[in-house]
Amino acid sequence: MNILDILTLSWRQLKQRKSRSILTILAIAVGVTSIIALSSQVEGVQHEIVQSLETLGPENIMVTVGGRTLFADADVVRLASLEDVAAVTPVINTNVEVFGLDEPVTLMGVSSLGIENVLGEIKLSAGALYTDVPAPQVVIGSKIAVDDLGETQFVVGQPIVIQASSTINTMAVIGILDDYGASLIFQPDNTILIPLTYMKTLMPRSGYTLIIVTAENPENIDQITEQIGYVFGDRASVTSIKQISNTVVTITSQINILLVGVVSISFIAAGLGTFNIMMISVLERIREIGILKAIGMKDKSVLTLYMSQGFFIGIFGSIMGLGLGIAAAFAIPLLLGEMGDFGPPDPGSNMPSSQSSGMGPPGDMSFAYTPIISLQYVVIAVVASIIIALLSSAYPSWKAARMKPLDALRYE
Amino acid sequence: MEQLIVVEDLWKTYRVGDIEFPALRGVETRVNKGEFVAIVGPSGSGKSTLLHIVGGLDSPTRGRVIVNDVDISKLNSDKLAEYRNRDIGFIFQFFNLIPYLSAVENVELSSAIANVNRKTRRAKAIKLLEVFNLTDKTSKKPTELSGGEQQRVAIARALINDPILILADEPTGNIDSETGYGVIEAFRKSVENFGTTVLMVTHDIELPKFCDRTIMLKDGKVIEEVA
Repeated sequence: MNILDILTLSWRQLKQRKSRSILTILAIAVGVTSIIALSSQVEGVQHEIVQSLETLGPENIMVTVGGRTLFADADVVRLASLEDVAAVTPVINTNVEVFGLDEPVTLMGVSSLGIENVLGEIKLSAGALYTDVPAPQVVIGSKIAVDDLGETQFVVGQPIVIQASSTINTMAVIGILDDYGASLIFQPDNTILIPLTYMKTLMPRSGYTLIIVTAENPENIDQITEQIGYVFGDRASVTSIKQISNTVVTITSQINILLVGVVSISFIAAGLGTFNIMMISVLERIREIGILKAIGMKDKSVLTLYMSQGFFIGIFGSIMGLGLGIAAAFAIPLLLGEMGDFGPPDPGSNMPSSQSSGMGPPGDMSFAYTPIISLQYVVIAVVASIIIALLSSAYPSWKAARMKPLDALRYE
Repeated sequence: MEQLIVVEDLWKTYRVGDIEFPALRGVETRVNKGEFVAIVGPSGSGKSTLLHIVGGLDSPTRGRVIVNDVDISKLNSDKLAEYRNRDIGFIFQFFNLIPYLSAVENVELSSAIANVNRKTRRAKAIKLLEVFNLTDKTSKKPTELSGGEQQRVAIARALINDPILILADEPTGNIDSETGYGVIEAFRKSVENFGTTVLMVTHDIELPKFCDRTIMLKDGKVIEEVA
């Protein structure tokens, strides 16, 4: 009997028990859906984090305070004197209240030249950047300018009243940043940038909370990181963007492996379900197998007949699982968005209470990402579901093929 | 006349646990080509066992069955399947049609197993159904057919590969007598028109008179052969 006729017969058998076949296909589809839906979230989050880190520049090293003593000018000079260091950007961060806003925001003092090292790429939606003069001029983040409801709070030229270090200061908004979204390091959307020289007049006793060291060449990052660690000891915590990026990739890859491991349990359940259904199918058709053998069907054709049913279940389970998985992949971020802001914990929470390192914002933080459906996981899911369906069908098919025609015909 | 079936010292013993049940005890018989032979005897006489061994559905414990010069007791599983498909047409008491296939698909199934192309086998199946007055039933499922119609579909299926031997196990046992005579008439036509040999097991004492010869079995032995 040729393979096309066997497949046609196999298909007719599956169609005869429609609801049972669909349920078996669904059982297989659940595994594929889970792999696609979950791995795409992890891949999407990984991509988003790595991309946002990379915009900050792979040549940058973040030096944050390790204890309670902030950095002084002397520390900046020491860092600048290190070999292969191109630039040093000292930053002062503090959480402040803004009149008219419910949540505190980050006030960040940074020189005009250093802004690029903090933001990566400078994107302004209105106005201009400030110059390095000790004047009360600020550039505000997009979420400060326009609130969550879409109402404009501040425009260029408007005064903004800030309470910092128990003093109330009125400053002029001269620029508004474009939407930056979330980042592990820094949240520009909820930040007010002011000239470092003016920040020093507001907080004359404050040291620097963060120093960004820019290497001449990204290849020297490890060497410079080591030198800084040696110079500052426990006083500083040194992290390069490259290190964070690598750590994120390692962790998310491990999470993905763990997820695939967990999801494989659903494959085992689906396999057992398929095995059960196939055994029932063979038992129900013993007489039919007897007829087919009586009229000349060979053992290997009977084997192919039932194995192909497993193959169909695997293929259709994969297709359905892929469809559901892709739909679920894109639905999950929307559902998470409905449930509330989604984002990683604030890594700057160990900083002095009134000041933050700049690594993580106060108040509102949302994390948006686009799921990425990786071909690698699609292939794993499809191949696994077909293999599981075939393995589950192997024993029932073998049993059917080995039946003696007369015993099968006499089966009651 | 040329012999088609030679049965020599055929023994078949079934074993259940430690107990042995001899079904055939040294059966010796011959069937010629183009003969219509009835096998009769009381229940447990070994009629169906003989038919199943000749049809390659069962294997003998001892002895030889030669069909068309081939000792079928020496064939392996694949060769036996080919033999059943190519040389034998089985007809059973309970029709044994495939429930999810239509009448025409049931008829062409044996032909599909024999790798005949779709167009040729479909044309032949329709022609056979015409011969058995089932033209308007080709697309009906077995459950939509009467017992007599199902048996005629089963006969058409048995004939589609032009077998040299039709083995019928109580073919009229599950249909009314009028339809039963129609089935016997179909066998007779097949013998006369195509030279097919028919071996039919029956309990019906009326049917042997339509056959060329009757083999009587009792306790697993041939006790009489009546021409």
